[in-house]
Amino acid sequence: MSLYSDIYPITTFPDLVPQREHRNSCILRLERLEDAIRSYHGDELHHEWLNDYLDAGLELAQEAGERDLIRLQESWLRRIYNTLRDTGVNVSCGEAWRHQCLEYLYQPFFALQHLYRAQPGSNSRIKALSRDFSFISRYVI
Amino acid sequence: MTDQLPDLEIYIMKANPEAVHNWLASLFKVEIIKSAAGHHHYRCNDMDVFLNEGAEKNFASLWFKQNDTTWHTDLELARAAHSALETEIRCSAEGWKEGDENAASDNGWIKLNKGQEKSFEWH
Repeated sequence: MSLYSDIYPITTFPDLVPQREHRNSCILRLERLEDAIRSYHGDELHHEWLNDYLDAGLELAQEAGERDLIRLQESWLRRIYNTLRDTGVNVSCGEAWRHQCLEYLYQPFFALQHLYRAQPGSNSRIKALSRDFSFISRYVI
Repeated sequence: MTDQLPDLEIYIMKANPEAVHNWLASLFKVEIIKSAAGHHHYRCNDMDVFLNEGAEKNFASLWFKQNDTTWHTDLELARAAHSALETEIRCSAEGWKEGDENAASDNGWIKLNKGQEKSFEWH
């Protein structure tokens, strides 16, 4: 008899299916917006792209955090931080668009900082992140 | 020398909870605190360890909430798990740390499969 057969009954989790579908659609939305943000070379500012992108990324991070998937949570936050940061310093993009991306950078920055502050022994991560953010703020904005 | 991370987390492909339990039991004194609906909470020596089977697609997460092990990083744990469980393991690269100029641009994840380690971007 398996150790788990008594305490871990074989079952399905239908309530998790809509949750998973929602997550997958959120990931798809994030990926499409990410491509659009990174490759945009126009002059018109699309605040709605950045707002939707942040909503999707922060939601995925929050959902991972609620399930105690700490590294995944960090990974989503770093991903949106990196996208905004990389676009913000990409000289092939329009100056106004770059500036706009960097103005949104504080949101994933604060979310990452909050995450690291909740983790014991993460001082070096907070310092490195803060230094990067400070450098970008001084250098570009 | 790498600092000891305060917690450790890896992702195990198609994790068999019994195999994970047996592996942990070969290393620590293991007590099952809770085991239901794909969520398992073990006490390994004095550490709380959680196995979440439905973490991400085909992957379960194994999270050592405290790290009183000999593994300093997720990667060291991943290597041990890969060797013992003989399945694909994914772990986070270290992320932000002082003196790492490339931290903001690395792929963020390492995949261990069939004895190979590769950096990749998950999702």
